[in-house]
Amino acid sequence: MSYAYRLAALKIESDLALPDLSPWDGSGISEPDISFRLGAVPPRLHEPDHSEAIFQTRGRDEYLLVLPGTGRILVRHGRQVTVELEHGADPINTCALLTGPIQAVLWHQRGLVPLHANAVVIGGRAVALAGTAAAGKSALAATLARDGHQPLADNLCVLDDAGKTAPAMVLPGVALLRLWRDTIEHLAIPADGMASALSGRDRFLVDRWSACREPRALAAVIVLVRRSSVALTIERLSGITALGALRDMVQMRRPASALGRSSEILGCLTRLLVVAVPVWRLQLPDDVSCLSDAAAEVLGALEQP
Amino acid sequence: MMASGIWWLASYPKSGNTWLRAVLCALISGKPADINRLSLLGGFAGSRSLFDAALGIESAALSRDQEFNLRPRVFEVMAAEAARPLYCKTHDACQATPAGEPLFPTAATRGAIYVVRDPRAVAVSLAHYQARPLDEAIAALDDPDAVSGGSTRRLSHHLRQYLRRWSEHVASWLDAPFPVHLLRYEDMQADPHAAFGAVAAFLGLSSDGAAIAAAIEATTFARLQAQEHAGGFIEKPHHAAAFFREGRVDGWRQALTREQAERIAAAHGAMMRQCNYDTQLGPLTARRGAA
Repeated sequence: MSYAYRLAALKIESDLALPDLSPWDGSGISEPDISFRLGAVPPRLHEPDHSEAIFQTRGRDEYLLVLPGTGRILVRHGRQVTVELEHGADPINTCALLTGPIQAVLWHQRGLVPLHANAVVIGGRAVALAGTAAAGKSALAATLARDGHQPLADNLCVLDDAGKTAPAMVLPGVALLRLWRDTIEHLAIPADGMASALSGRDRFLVDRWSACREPRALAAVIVLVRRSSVALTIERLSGITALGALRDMVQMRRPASALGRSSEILGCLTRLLVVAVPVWRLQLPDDVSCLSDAAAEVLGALEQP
Repeated sequence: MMASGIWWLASYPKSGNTWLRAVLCALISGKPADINRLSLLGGFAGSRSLFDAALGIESAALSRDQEFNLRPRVFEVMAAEAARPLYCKTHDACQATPAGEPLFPTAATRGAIYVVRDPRAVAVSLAHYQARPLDEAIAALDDPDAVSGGSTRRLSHHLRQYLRRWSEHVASWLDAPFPVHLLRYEDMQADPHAAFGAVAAFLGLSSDGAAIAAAIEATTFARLQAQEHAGGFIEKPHHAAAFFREGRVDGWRQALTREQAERIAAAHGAMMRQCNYDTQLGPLTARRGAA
């Protein structure tokens, strides 16, 4: 059985169910842009350029992930994903891998820049809420969505700066928000019937807000830094500090570097600053009760000239 | 062994690890330690961001077992890529992963300092740190499935670290297949110059008396506490009132009931005696009733 999904404007065909993604709603006969197929995957690439702890790359077009407990996943040319699962591999966690880290590798191979960020639509434009794992990106995006700001992407925010001189466009990503139980309870979201986003953990796929389905121009990047004992503050970054903060937010940086993308990515991020996309650092305490105030800080910052 | 390699700064939580790292930071840098930059020594073995950066994958997309099984690879990458020896904090027991290999690979390891503290004092400190009743903290010390970090309800900055029972935690490090220096918290308090001098000698650092004295002077409990008051401490959990709370060796005598102290000694007496802790109670000064 094969499934068809939409990711941005792309058609995905998959041998595996990927419930994070939206069903394909376009033409039934169109060729897929990306395929996820079950099949044999070699344990090693032929003459890899980079061989790291759990992945190898060859040129820009081949990436092999060897992940005990799941299996082997080969990504080629930004179009073909071949998955050889180990016996007993968990389907929910496999989906999380394919729509998370593997999706990021696909975008890198396609020449776009995936940020480790959620995106929401504020004033008709995209605002990226970036941060490393556990920074509170999805929780803040859900808080803004509750207040009427449409989600655009969850955890992976793809920048397309083909225009080079205009602000980059943010492509619509996974339409659902993947939220942890403490956020769901804090926002009083009814949890009945929610699908699990990760086996063995209280993380759920939340389909509560209508997501934006169109690309939006990037208006700002908010870099979230969540720490246990800090006050809620927001500050504008500039110059090399802003560039460094943006570079740290690139999804799958290590594989991207192995795929030879570092200078292209630096060019894209530098252009963001050249066209004056503001970059803010939002420092927030490790407590869900601060989320409404954090959302207010973001909205306040965006109103500044 | 590679030229760099990792020195593990290991302890059960609330046993004096932060003080050890502050002294090492001051000793190595020659400057007073900034409590919010102790990770410059080499990072925290349970850090999620360190895992993600070293392996090039999001741990948030992995199962618990996958995460645990991959942790030795993280330490190998860190050791291979470091230009100098790393001094990494860990609260994990020294154990095998579910796949059966050592969590701390010997090829990436230089050795370990293991800080041990009287478990009666650990219980009191843990109860304050985790804002939980003393009896729960005492039960946690005896829980074979005790973990730190990695809540299922939220994504934590820390990976799940498996502590095991307090006695097992200590034994696991004393039996480690690499050199281990046992450092008693009480000795750090009683004679810091001798205790940290021995640490410096074990690590191959300067054991110059003046340098060690300066590092100790720069990291007194009062100074660390003052830093936390002034600028916060990133390792303090949100619900704890303060990280540097009391730091006393015998504070447990006022905080524990006789029954609570006896319960700890009954569960961990053998290892306590091995670590030179007196399991005979003597007078308890304040509390009489049940907790």
